[in-house]
Amino acid sequence: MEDSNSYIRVSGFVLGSLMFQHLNSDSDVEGLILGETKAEERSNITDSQIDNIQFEHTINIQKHISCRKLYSFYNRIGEVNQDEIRHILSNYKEENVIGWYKQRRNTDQQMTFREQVVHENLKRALSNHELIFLLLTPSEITTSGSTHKLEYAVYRSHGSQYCSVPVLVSNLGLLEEQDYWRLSASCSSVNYNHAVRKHRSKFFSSDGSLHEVDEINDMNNSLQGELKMACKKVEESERLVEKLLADISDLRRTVNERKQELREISADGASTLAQPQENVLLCEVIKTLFPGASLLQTQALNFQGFPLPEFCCSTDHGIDIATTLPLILSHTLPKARKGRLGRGGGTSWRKRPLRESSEVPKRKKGMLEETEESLSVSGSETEEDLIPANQNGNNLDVSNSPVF
Amino acid sequence: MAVSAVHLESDAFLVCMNHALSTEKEEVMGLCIGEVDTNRIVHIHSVIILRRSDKRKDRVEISPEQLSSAATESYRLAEMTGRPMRVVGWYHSHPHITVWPSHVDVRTQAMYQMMDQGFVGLIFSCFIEDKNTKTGRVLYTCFQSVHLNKIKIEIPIHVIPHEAIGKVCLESAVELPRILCQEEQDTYRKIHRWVASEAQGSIQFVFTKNLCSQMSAVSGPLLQWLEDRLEQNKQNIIELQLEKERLTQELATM
Repeated sequence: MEDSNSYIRVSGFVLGSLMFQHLNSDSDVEGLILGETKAEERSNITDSQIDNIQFEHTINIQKHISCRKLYSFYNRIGEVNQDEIRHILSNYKEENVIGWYKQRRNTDQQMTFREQVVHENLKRALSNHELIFLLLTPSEITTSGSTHKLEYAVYRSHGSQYCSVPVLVSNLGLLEEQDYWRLSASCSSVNYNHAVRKHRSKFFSSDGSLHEVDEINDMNNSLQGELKMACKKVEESERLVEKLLADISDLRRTVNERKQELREISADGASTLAQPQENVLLCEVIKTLFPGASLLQTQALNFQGFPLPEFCCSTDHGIDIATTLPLILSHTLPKARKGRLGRGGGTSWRKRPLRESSEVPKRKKGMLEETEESLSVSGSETEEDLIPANQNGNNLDVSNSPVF
Repeated sequence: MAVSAVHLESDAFLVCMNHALSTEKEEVMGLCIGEVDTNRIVHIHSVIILRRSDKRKDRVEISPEQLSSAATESYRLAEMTGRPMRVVGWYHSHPHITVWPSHVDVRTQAMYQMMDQGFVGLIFSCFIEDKNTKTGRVLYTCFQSVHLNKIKIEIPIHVIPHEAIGKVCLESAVELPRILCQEEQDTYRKIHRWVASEAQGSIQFVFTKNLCSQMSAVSGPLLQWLEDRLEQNKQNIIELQLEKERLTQELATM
């Protein structure tokens, strides 16, 4: 008859290290577990059975490799990326991978469907049918936040079934002072004591101390020395990691600030471009052609489309229209008009850029109403002529652009 | 006045957890070093592992020498951080026992609070297993005593992320094997005086066996963890340096 017992062994330092990793992260964390598997076969012979064999399967978790982010070695549908696993493992061998782990806060101690799919795919990818999954689920157990709990369990699949395997945290355990007092009974045989005394010097030094005690103390001191050296190296590397993290944090902040500045500058630039540059030539022409006609000179309209005479430009741009645009003055309108602007209500006015008057054909009033051509200020048409007949006489009741 | 909350740095938490998980046969204890701010929040930056002079379950005592060395450690941390540090609390473990403080724990806490009202107590419960689901459990809690009634009050505790392990915490962590060895040597010397000469060999064998167990159960795994941490840090440094270069180049092109 065969019996099978499986155990997981993990040291308190590895368990503590796993907890430490999750405490420093604000999300779930996961990674790979490395270790070794040992199998022992024990046979028990009893009165009723001659071949009672017990298999003891011990899986030692030796270290964990944390993934920088979630979904690093699998995608959302649970497919495993073997290249990514090799990248995560770096110098470690794939055959040392005995499982993977996940840590998630305030969740049930139960594998999710995705985790099961990933586990099956990982088993196939690593060709390891004894692959284990370690799940750690921390949570608060009091509303005050005074008491916290971490539950941990290891799962293994057999077909479609998942069962948990007991986890033993290896520790000092059974070292008790009573061991010193469990002395064997002394032997009064003379020959026994003679034989022991004859070989005593091989085990005991002249002061009565056991050689092995000195040896073991020396070994322990060496181990302490190794621990101190390892501690020093780890400390130096921790400071370097800390400095790099601080530098990266500063750089990220500076990059974000710079990006923000650039965004603001481009926004300002865009808004500057959106602001119309004053057409100083037009301004001077209007002032020349229509002196004192502030309604015509202004370029500002209110929301209802009425010109605002108080915003007309009073700057002398120093342009002599007579020399700059002599042809405009040769076609000067007989009198300046004030306050008579085109109106809305179905009529659309179209602008076109200023041209030399010679290029602009003379238009008759009727053509303006029929064609899509934009208006021209040259020619003999007056402003009054250009205004369509359906105006209601209210000069300020307009919603469309003024006519130039 | 009661403390409003405790902020325990994650590297100090790591040392406490390593200490608590080192043995399931007896309660371990230590002192917490840190500072208290104006909002009555206790910030624990480091811990000191202590030897228990009396290992009986209902006695939790800290000797004057240990308190003195704890004070020395506080000055060292104060020099490193540039902030005043002192002993602000104590922690101990409850292996196989519920996390809630016993009446002895509450009395001990009340006694410490007589010296310092802001003194806090932490308990780490470990080696708990649900036999049905085979789920292991580790719990931790924070409490103070209400002085007159000697009953406990719960203090919220938050573990603060600290991605790199501090120097003081690392040094505290590697103190554990040294303290265990010292305890064993003291026990051996104490018994050595009382045992007859023909039994000296036996007790020396026990000492050798116990020291070997300490090395394989504590020193070995601790050394392994340190080496793995160093390896992990080396990988991290390479990746972080690449990230730093990338960001520096990105900034230069702006």
